[in-house]
Amino acid sequence: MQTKIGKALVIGAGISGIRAALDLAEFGYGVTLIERSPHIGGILSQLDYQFPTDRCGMCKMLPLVERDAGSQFCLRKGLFHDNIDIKLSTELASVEGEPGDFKVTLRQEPNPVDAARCIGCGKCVDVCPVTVADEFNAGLTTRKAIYLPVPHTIPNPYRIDTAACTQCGACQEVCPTEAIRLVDEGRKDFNILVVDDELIVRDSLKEWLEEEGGFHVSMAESGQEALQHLKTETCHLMLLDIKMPGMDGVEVLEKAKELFPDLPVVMMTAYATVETAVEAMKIGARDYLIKPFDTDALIPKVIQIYQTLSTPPGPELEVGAIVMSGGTSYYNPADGKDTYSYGSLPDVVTSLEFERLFSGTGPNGGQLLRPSDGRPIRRIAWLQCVGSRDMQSNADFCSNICCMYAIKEANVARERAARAGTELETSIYYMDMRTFGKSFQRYRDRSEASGVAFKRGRVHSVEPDLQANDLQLRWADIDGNVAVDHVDLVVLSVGQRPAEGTQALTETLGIGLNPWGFPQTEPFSLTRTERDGIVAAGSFAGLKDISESVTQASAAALAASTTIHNAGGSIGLKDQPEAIYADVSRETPRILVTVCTCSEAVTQGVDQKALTHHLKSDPAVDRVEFLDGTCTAEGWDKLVALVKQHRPNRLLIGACLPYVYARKLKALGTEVGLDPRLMEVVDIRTPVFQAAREDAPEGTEPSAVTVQRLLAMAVARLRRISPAPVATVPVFQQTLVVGGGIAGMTAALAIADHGFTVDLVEKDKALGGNLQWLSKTIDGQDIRAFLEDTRNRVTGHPQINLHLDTRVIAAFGQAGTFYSTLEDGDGNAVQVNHGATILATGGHEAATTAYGFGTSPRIVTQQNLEAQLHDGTLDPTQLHTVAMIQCVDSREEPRNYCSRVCCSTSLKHAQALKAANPSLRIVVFYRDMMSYGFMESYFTEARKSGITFIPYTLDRRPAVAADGTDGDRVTVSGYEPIIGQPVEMTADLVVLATGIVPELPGELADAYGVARDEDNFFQEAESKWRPVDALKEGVFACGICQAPRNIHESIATAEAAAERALRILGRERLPSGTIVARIHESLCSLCERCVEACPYGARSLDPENERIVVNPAMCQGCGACAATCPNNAAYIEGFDAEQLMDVIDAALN
Amino acid sequence: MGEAAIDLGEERPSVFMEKVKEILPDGGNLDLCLTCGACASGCPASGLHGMDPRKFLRMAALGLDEEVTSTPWVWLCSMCQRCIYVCPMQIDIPALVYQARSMWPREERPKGILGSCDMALRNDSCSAMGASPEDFQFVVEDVLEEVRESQPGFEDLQAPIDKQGAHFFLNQNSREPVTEPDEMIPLWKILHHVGADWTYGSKGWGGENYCMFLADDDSWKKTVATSIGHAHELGCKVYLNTE
Repeated sequence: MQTKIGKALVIGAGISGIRAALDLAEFGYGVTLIERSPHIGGILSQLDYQFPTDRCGMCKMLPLVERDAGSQFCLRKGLFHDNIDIKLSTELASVEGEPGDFKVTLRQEPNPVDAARCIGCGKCVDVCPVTVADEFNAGLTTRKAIYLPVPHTIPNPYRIDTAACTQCGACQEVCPTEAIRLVDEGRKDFNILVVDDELIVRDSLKEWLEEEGGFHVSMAESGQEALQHLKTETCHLMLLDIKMPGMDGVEVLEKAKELFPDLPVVMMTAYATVETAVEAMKIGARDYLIKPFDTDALIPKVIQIYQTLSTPPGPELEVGAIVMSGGTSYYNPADGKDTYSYGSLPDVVTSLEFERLFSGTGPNGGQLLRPSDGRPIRRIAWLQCVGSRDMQSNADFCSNICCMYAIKEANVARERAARAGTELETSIYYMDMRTFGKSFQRYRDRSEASGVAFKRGRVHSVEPDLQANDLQLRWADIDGNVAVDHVDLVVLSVGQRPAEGTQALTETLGIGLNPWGFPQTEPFSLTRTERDGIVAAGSFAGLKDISESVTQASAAALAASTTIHNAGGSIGLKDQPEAIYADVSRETPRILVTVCTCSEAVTQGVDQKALTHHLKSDPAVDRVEFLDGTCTAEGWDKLVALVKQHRPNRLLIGACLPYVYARKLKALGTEVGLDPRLMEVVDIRTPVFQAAREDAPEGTEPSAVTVQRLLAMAVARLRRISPAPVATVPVFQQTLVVGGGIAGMTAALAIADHGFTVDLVEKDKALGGNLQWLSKTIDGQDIRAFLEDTRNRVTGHPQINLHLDTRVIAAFGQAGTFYSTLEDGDGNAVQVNHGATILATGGHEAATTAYGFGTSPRIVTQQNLEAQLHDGTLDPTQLHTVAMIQCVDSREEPRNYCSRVCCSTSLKHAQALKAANPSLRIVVFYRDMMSYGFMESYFTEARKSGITFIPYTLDRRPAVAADGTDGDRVTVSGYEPIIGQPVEMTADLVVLATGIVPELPGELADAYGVARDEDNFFQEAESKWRPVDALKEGVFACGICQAPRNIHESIATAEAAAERALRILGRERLPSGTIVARIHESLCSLCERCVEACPYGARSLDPENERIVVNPAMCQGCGACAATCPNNAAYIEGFDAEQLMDVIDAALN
Repeated sequence: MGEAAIDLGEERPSVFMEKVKEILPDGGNLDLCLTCGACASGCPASGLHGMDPRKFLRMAALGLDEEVTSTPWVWLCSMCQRCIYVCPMQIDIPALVYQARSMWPREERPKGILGSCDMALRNDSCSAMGASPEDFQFVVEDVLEEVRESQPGFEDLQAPIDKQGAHFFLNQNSREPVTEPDEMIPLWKILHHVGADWTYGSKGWGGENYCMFLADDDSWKKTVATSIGHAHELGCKVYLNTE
């Protein structure tokens, strides 16, 4: 791996953190990825299915560049990469320094379970007496205080929830490997002062904290006494009552803080004085507890404070940039008025709880059963906008993702039911169905056609029907018909809230928050904050779906990378030793087998002599050695000595936890000159674990037999591994960007700022694309000034070759080596060689003939209006009435997609017109308002300013008629569904929102080997996990040729595409993975079926030499070619037929 | 269909709603409707007279003032506030209904409510049943006497009237002293049990407020002022409204 000296810290290992970390690591930076919880994956570790595939697919994010530097298995299970250091249960404690040179201190929560010793036997769980709600199953099931945070990670050591643990010691006693060390002597020396005027409070707290917490507790009955105590005794934590006679708690707090500024104080308050407690936090209280106390909450809280205070900070790191990717949290419906009875009716669940409910690892093993009584669920209702678009919960925003996840949940539930042969009724009760993403509308339509009922209405309340034993909800359709629906389960689609700890983290980092408590990003950026080098990724700055999170995580990685580069961090380490491996291709295999003897499970009944004898019956096995504790430093040294002594050309290690060895094998390879691909670690412990247990079922295969078979199979595999070196492909370390709009310019600048040459091609004579006709954003940012600034940066950049009035007329090539021919307006052609290609060809406002467009100058499109408002040809004060019609020719076939920008554009225009002429009557005819995210507040503002919004459906569209001289008199008629009457208006202006169509010529897409979707947008490799990549590695797209987007979002895609391209540009030769496709040329008939079969475009016909070639850097080793080839000419390295036959033989022997 | 189209080109939107907005804090959020229908789905009066809270607000917003100020539906609203309780935009529909009621000529308002309000205006009791202060005093004392004599443990039960300096001033729905006197007893017992220092007033003891439901501002101001004024005269600290 080519390493650079630059380093980054990524805070939060959810999907965004993983994406940002991988992007930075693939470029060559060192990354420390920290995560507060004890596992990676964030919320997605709890979600099994994603639309539109209704499957997972997270593995598609795994590295494509130098695949062997990272793990290549299920990403939900774990992530390993040479350049990424993952620290779990870790938070940021402090940060100092400047962009490019931050000094950060971390705080790692200790785990009393030694991960290296834990063998996952689970005996500790059996004896643990503490039962608490299991957060992995959203509280639907319980777990013990010692537990597995998620069931599926590798490695998966048990963890102790120290806040819940009573330190009884039972687990420690039964642990067979002495992996648990509970001793926490510190607590009895931790002095807590309880200050309360009521004796009973003091006494009970003392009892709880001493007996259950193990702390030392002192008491004071008044403020004076407390202050006196503080002066004479050491105190580590004060629990302080607010309402006390004489000196009240707040006064005590102030005085105590004067004496001991660092003393942590937790206020105790009755419900009535919670506000005082909140005020007290502003003057230095750490937290507050509400009386009467809930011991289940109180003790863990105190333990948590104790742990934070007693855990020494560290380690310290130096990093160039910090990516904040801490995700988001969700609204708790019980916090509000809760007319849906969440928390009191067990069959009312949140969307996250529902995800767990139907998960295979959930409480019912994937069966749809009611939480209340376990009866099968036949009818489910989803209630949208719970904690979103709701002033009552202070949520003047849309949470972006709930509409789509509700549809997905309905689909997956229906599929589940269909498989079980049962009927399932699914209804979604919504206000606006926000299907604003690419492919969302068609997904909705398909779901509706397959039986998901969409009911436009917000439900007032959910009540139990005791007779029918189900839930009833009343709702009113748009015509005012009130119906009572009965269901078995109600799912509340809960909205976003800032991630827990956002305020503390952003304060530490010096970042401001928006009005809703999410980090504020800079104008025209979704990732950069007010501090250079500190960037936000994914949902941390506001809830996003996977695709947006992944895109913005790559964009954040780019911003971080730029800071690191500017500080000199992308200079390659010159003294990084390049491993030189001996060429053993002409030697017969000589395998050294080592067998680890540290586990009783393995050694019980294994006859070392017999095993040696059996293995050595294969002439490829040179030696068999038995080693104790292979994974320990001592054991490893012995192994290294053996390798040096016997110089094998293959190494087989029989041990456990193979993933632990990846780095060690690489180091060993470098040291002894043996390619790590010729080494293998086989897990001989886990498979025999069952046999070693006393309660093993009868007929279980004896350990000795299993161990022998596993080793023999590995020998068979290793014997036939090709020792040929891993192929690399050369890279032209420069890029071609097609399209000079904001996306193309942004991508070009991002790459050029990293010191690589960029050829930027624009077919027009000027840069800017659609920004040339746009003036201001909805939040008032000056687009023209921004465009001017960007243009100047592009034209003045020494690394950018600008080709205006130029087109790409021909191109071919692959990741690393593309050859494009450009032709300018005068017919002059040049050839450009480039390693990566970025398509930013843009799009334009759709033309229309609907609603009388063209029959009257009063009927205009949004683009027309924008231009007229800017150049002053339209005077809003001369208007009396304006009608706006949304979704013109959109969200219905053939253009069945939402263009995402039109609703906010109408809001922007309406706002501007109203500002110029407050008495203006504006009526907006819409289908679903798509003011997603924080844009919702502009929709609210628009209604507040008196703009009328009238919903319409496709079977009852508004109509526009122009008559009079030159069509001067325009009448708009429609239907008001709530009143149930037609409406009509004479409109001085009719504005049509016609949406966006892409401009990505088919020939251009073909030339670079990429596909277009049915609407002629760029077809990304995968809409969620690889949103800006083509399936063919090396080609990327951004801006509105990929999907409709606003300026900020287009910029984010451009930054993401640039970051993805940088992974390729960052090295002179692109290494492939070990497992790649090859060809037995003597067997190949050049039928080219494999070329068609390859989904990654890695195969092509070399007509000159009459052979099929594989680009090993693009090949992902999927095997489609090998399966297609009629002659067995195509095969996958490491999986050829003879080898696999040998392995099968060994398994059956 | 077949109805005349609502004219949206009309420059004058709703005069009625604009006026109501001026009266209410934050304009009652009357402009903010998302037409979600949460109000309509929870309203006990939805569908009556072909009306529901959302439609009512919508008509007001689109300037259908005549319909809004003349629909008898406003009198079917019980002012229960279930609509605003769940409204995501906190729209004060009850206040809009109230103002629509106030647009009705007083004599055309529903007879039951109108009569009850007029009764309350007859004397200082402010009782919708028209009971006089003397009648009230007689009934309370009579019932109290009976309890003290017949129910062991309540020999010293109190039900004071006009007790100077009592902490709580308690009002009383006048249906109870007039038609179901025994139903006053449980509350007395509770107050007795917790040792509350309370009193009825001879003036303004009637707790119901029909003049408010009639949307007759001057009248309900008068009855409420009588009751509160008397509580002040007695030096009470807390006004306990039992309605």
